[in-house]
Amino acid sequence: MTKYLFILLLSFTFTISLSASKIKGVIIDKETNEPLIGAIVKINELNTGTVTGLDGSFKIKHLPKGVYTISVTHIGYETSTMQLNTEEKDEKEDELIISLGPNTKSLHEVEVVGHADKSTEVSARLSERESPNLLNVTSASAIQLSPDMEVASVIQRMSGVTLDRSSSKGNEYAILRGMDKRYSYTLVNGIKIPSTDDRHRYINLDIFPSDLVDRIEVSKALTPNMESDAIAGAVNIVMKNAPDKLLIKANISSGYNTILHDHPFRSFNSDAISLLSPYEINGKEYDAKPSDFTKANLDNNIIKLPVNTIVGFAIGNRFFEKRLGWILALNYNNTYRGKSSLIFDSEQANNSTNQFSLTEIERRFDYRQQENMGIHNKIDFDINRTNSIKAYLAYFNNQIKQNRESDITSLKYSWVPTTGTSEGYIENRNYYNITSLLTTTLQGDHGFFNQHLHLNWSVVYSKATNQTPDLSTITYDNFFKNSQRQPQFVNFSGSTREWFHNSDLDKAFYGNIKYVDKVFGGNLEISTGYLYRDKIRNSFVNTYTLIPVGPVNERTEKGVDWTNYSDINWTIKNPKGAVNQPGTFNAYENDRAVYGMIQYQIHPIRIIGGLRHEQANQGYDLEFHNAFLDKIRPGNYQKKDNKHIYNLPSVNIEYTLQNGNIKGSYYKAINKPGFLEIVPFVDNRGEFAIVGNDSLRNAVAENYDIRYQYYPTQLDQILIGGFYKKITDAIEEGFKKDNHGNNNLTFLNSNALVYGFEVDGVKFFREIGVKFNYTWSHSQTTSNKKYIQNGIVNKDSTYITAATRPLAGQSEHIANISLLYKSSNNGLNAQLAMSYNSDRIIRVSPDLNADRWEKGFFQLDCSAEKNFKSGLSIFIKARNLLNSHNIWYVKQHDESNNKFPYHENDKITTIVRNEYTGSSILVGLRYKL
Amino acid sequence: MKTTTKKVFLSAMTIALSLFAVQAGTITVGTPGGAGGVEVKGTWTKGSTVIVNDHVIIQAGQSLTIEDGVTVEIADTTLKIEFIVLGNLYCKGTANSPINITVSANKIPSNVATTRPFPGLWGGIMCDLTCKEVLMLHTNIKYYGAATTNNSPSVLLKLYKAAAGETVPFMNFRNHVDGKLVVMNSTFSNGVDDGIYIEGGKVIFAYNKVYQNGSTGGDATNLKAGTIADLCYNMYYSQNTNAFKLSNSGSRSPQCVAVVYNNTIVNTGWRRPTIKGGSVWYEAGVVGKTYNTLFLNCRYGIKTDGKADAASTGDYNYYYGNTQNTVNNFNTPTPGLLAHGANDVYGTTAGANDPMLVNYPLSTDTLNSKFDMSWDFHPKSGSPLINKGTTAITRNFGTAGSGITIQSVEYLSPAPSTTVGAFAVSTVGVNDLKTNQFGIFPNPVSTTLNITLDSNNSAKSLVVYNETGVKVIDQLIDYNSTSLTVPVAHLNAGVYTLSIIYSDNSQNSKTFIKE
Repeated sequence: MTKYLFILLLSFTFTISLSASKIKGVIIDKETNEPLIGAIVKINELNTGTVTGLDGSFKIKHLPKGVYTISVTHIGYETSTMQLNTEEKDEKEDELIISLGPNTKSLHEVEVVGHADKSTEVSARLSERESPNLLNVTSASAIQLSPDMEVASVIQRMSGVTLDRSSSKGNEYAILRGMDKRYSYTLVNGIKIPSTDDRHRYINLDIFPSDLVDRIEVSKALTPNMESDAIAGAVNIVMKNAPDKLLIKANISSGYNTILHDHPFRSFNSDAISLLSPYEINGKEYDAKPSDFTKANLDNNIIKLPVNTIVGFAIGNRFFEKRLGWILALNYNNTYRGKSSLIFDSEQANNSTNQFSLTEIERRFDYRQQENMGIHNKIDFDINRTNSIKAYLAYFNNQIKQNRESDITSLKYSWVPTTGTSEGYIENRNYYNITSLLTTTLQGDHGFFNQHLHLNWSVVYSKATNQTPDLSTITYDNFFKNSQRQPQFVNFSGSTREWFHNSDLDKAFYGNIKYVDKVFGGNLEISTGYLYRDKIRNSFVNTYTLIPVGPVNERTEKGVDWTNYSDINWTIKNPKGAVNQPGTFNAYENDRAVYGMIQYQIHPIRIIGGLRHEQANQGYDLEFHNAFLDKIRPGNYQKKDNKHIYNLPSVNIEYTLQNGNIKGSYYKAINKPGFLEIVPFVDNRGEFAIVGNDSLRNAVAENYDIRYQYYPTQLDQILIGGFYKKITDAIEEGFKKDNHGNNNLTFLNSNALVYGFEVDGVKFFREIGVKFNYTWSHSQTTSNKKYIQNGIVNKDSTYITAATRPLAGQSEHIANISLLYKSSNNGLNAQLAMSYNSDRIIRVSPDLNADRWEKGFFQLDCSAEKNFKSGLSIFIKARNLLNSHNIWYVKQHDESNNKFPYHENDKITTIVRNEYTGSSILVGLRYKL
Repeated sequence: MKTTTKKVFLSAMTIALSLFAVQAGTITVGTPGGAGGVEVKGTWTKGSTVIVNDHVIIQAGQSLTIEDGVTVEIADTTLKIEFIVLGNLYCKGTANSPINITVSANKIPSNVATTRPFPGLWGGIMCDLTCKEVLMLHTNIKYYGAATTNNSPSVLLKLYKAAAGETVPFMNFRNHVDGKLVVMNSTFSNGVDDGIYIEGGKVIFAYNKVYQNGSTGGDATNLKAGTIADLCYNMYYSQNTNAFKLSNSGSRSPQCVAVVYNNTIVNTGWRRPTIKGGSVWYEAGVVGKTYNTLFLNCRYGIKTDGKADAASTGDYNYYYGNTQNTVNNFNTPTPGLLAHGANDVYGTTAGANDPMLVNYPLSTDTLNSKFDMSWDFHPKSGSPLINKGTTAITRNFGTAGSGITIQSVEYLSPAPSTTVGAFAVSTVGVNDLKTNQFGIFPNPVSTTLNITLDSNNSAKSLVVYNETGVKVIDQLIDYNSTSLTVPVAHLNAGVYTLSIIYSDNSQNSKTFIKE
C-alpha cells in the first residue's frame, strides 16, 4: 500500500515531458478475461506509473522515447513485466493488452468461482451475461459508491424497477416491470424469507442495510428450479461471503435530514409502552380498567439534535488452509426523518351527479426515528474438494418511533372562510413498531463421480415478526367561529389504543440434484429438485376505545381540564377489547414442489427447459366461534383449506453472437392471494361493507421475453429487451353484488395484460462511466367500480360498471441515468444519479373515475468518496437534492372544489395529496484493511 | 259421599292451579353464564316473566310472539345480551298491558337515575336479511346499546357492523328486499348510542316516545339506503345528536324515502358539539320530507350535507327557542341549514311563539336529559300549534291497500294532523260547553253502524281505530248533519273505538264491538 502511495506521489512530480510519446493499454485477468480495476502499471526506469480505471485501461502520457520495463501488479495476481521500446513505434499508439495470472499462493484449490469476489461490477456484468435467465445485477461496489443507504434505493436504479413508497407506515417495496408488489418475491441468498407485513407477503426492503449486501440480483424470467409465484420477477439479495483473506471493514457516518431544520423533532417515551394489551396479559374475560393503560407514552418531547448515525463493521477470514471461511458483519443505523404532507379527503356524492367533492384538508407532519440493527454471520467449510457446507444466520431488527401530528379541517358545509367559521380536529398519533426477521440456513454442496453429479440441499428456518404495541391516537376539537378558537374538547368518539402483531414462521427444505455431462459435443445438465415449505401465519389486532371523562357531559377542555395528554382521564367503551375483527386470523401455507430441468449447450445455442409441478395448500382458521352458533348457521365457523396444483413449464433459449447474445424465454408463473384476501371477513364499519372472498383463485400468467445483449468490451454493454405477460385471474379489488343485493367491496379475479420493452446500457471511459436504463410498459386490466343514479323511486340506484385501467403501481416510463467518476490516481469516486418515473395509479378506488394517480417525478442524488492511505476513506452522500414532491391526483374536476386552498387553479384534475421528505446528507468515514 | 267431595275439591284445585299457572308463568331462557346463545320460538304467553340469561336467537323460518303484559328481564349484564332475529318477531303489547324489556333490578346500577343514565347493560335486537317481519306494539325498552364483545353473536354472525367494540342500537333492521317493520306506541330510553338503525325495509314508526338516549353520540332514528318509511306522531326528548338521521348511503336499493310528520322534538342535539348535532339531518342522496313537526329548544332546524336528493324538503314546521342562541341556530343560515319553508312558524327573539303545552317548563336546561314523567306535551286549547300544519302530505303507507301487512293485518300510517306536533289538543274541561254528544247503534254490530249527532254540532269527520290503535275507517261528516251510517262489514271481529272529530279538532270517542 505504501508502495502505491509512493508511486502516486511520484507521479505528481513527474509531469514534465520531452518529445512525448504515450503508452496505453488494458490489463485483464488471464483466466476470465475480465478487465482489472486498480491494477498498478509502473514504468520501472522512471519510477512513474498509473493505475487502471473502471474499464481496466490505463494511459501514460508524455513519455520520453526510450526502452522501458513495464511491470503490472494487482492484489491476488502475479506481477507481470514486459519490455517496451517506444522508439520502435510511431506516434500511433498501440494498445497493449497485458494479462495477469492468479497468484496461486493466495487462492484455494477448490474452484475459483466458489470464492471469487462477486462484489465487483465486473462480476455483475459477467453474471448478467452468463445467467440462464434474464438477470440484472448490482454489485456491492456499485452500492457502496451510490448515494443509497438502503437496499430499496439501490434497487430503484436497476432496469425496470421502481419503488412503492405509498405505504402509510413508510415502508418501501420493489415494483418490477411496472407490476404491483404482489407480483414479485424477495430472496435472501436464494432462499425465500417470510414477510413482516400484516396481510400480505411483501418484503419491506427497509430492513436490509446496504452495507451487508454483496450483490443484488433481479431476475426477470424464471427457470423451473425457481419458485413460481413471481410473475414480474424475483429480487435476490446476496449477503456478503467470507473473503479470501483477512478482511476488516468498518464505517461510521453521520448525517442530517434538512427537513428537520424547520421542524423540531417530536418523539415520545416508548419505554413506557406495554408490549401486550390487557386482554393478552389478563385473559379473554378480563375487563380492562383505565389504570391498565399507560400514560407516559402519550406525551411528546423534543429531541434537540436529531443526527443520523450509521455504524458498520465486518470481519472475515479463512482458516485451516482456507477451507473454513467465516464472515461476521454488523450494522446499526439510527436515522431521523420527517415528512410533510398535505392530504385531501374526498367523497363521491351519493346522487346522480356523482359529484367528486373534497371533504377534508389535513396538514400532517410525521417525525420518524428508525433504528435498524443487522447481524449477518456466514460460515462455510470445505470438507474436501467436492463437498462443502455453509451455515448462515441473519437477524434484522428494526424499531420505528413515529409521531404524527395532524391538523384536520372539514371542508364540508362547516367551512366558511368569510365568517371565520370552520370545524376541525387536531390528532396526535404515537406509533411504535418493532419488526424482526431471523433467518437461518444450513446448506450443503456435494459433488460425486468426478463432478458429474452435484447435490445441494438447504434446510431453512425463518421467522418474521411485526409488532405495533399501543398505537395511541388522541383527537381534540379545533373549531373556529368568527375567527375565534372555540373551547377544545377531547373528541367524544374517543381515543383508540391498539395492539397489532403478526408473525410468519417458515420451515423449508430445498434439495437439488444435477447431472452434468458432455453429450454430442455439447454440455448437458439435467437437474431435478424438491421443495418443501410449511408456513404459519398469525395475525392479531386488539382495539380499545377510550372515552374521555369530564366533569359535565364528558367534556374535557384543553387548557382547563388538561394540558398534557397524560392528564386526561378515560373510561373504556369496550373493556374486553375488540379482538374479533378482520385482521385477527390464523393462516397457513404449505408448498410442495418438484421440478425437472434440462440444459443443453452447444455453441452457439443454449437451451434450458423444464417443468415445475407445484402444489400449494393455503388455508385459514378463525378463532372466534361457538358451538351453538355453528349449529344455527352451518358454515358460519370459518376454517378452510384450499388446494391448488399447477404444472408450470418454462423454456429459455440463448443464442451467442460475437460480443453478444440473444435470449428468449417463456415461462408460466402464479400469484397467490394475500392471507386476508381469502378469509371471509366482513368489515361493515364504513359506508359499504368490505368482505373477503374465500373462493378467490390464484392468478396464472404466461410470460414471454426476448432480450438482445451486446458487449463491445468486457465491461460495456447494451441491452434491449421486450416482454409480454398475459395474466388470467389477476387479483384486484372491486365491487360485487352479493345474493342479497348488497354491493360489497371485495377481491375479484380479472384478466390483465402487461407488455413493454427496456433498454439498458453501460459504458466506461477510463475515468468516467455512464449507466442508463429506460423501460416502457403498458398494462391493462378491468375492475368493477360503482356509480349512483337516483331519482327513480324503487329502482336500483347503485350501479356497478367495469372500467379498464392500467395496473396499480405501473409507470409507463421509467428512466435512470447514473454518471460515475473514478480516478484511482486521486482515490476519488463520485456518482450522480437521476431517475424519472412517469405517472402511475397509486391506489385503486371503488368509485368510477376516482383512482389515485401519482404524478411523475424526477429524483437527483449524488455521492462522493475520497480514499486515503491505510484504507481510510471519507465519503459524503446526498439524497433527493431536488426535494421532489410526491403528488397524488384524481382524473376528475368539479368547479365546487376550486374554492378550496391549493385548488384555485384546478382544471382537469384534482390534487388529493402533496408530500415531501426533504434532502438528506450523510458524511462518513470508512476503513478497510 | 266423601269420595265425590274429594273429587270435586281436587278438580277445583287443579282448575285453580292451572289458571294460576297460566297467568303467572316464569320462563327461564338460558343458563347463567351463557353458552353462546339459546334458540327460542313460539310464544311467550300473556303476563309471563321471562328471565334471560343468555343471548336469544330466533332461527330463520321461525318466529317468536311476545304477548301483552310480558316482562322480559335480562339477568346477565356482562354478556351484553343480544336478541338475534333471523326469523320474525311479534311484540304485541297493549295500552293497558304493555311489554317491558328491562334488566333485573339488582343489576341496574344506582347512579343510572343521576350521573350515568346510559349504562349499556345489554346489546340490542339485531335482525338479519332473513328476517321478514317485525311488529312491535306497546313495548318499553331500556338500558340497551352496550358495545359488542368478541363473542357477541351479532359479530360472530356478521350482523350490523360485524366487529367487536361497536355500540349497538335497540334495533337493527336490514331487509331491504322484502322486510316489513311496524313499531308503534312504544318507548325507548337510556340507550348508549343510536336508537333504531334501519338499513332497508318498509317501515311505519309512529306514536313512540324516545327519550334520554345517547351518551357521547347517537341518533334516535337512523335510516340508510333501502328504507321506505313513514315516521310520525313520535316524541323525542334529549337525543344526543339527531332525532332523525336520514341517509341514502349504503349502496342498496331502493333509494331511501322518509316522510317525517307530526313529531315533537325537544332538547335534542345539544350534548354533541359538532355541526351534525341537531334535530333532523338529510344526507347522501336521501329523499327526506319533514312536516308538521314541533322543534322545541333544539340545537338546529333541518340540516343537510348539501347532497340530499333535490326532492327533500321541509315545511309547516314550528320552531321555539327559549334562548336567543337557540333562536339564532334555527334561523341564521349556518352552513347546511335548510331554508325555512313558506309556512314555517319561527320567531326571531327568545321566547317567541310559546306553544302553550299542558306541562313543560320551557326554561329547562338544554343539556338536561332526564325525562320527568309528569310532563305533558299536549297543546292546550287555543295553542298556536293548532291549524299550523298541513294534511297535503303524500305518505308512503297512507292509503288502504298500500299499507304494511303483517299477520293479515294491514297497518297504515296515521293521517297527518293540522295541529303541529305529535299530540292532539287536550280535551280536559274544554268540551263541556259544546253539544258534542252522539249515539251509536246497534252495539254489537255486524254490517252497518248508525251514528246520531246533536243538532248544531260542529263535527267534521269520523275515525275508527281497532284494538291496536290502527285506524281502519276515516270518513268525513257533512256539515250540520245529524245522522249518518258507517259500513263495518269488512272489519274483523273485535273491539273498536269510534271518534268524532270536531271543527276545533277536539274529539269525542265511544267503543263498539264488531261481531
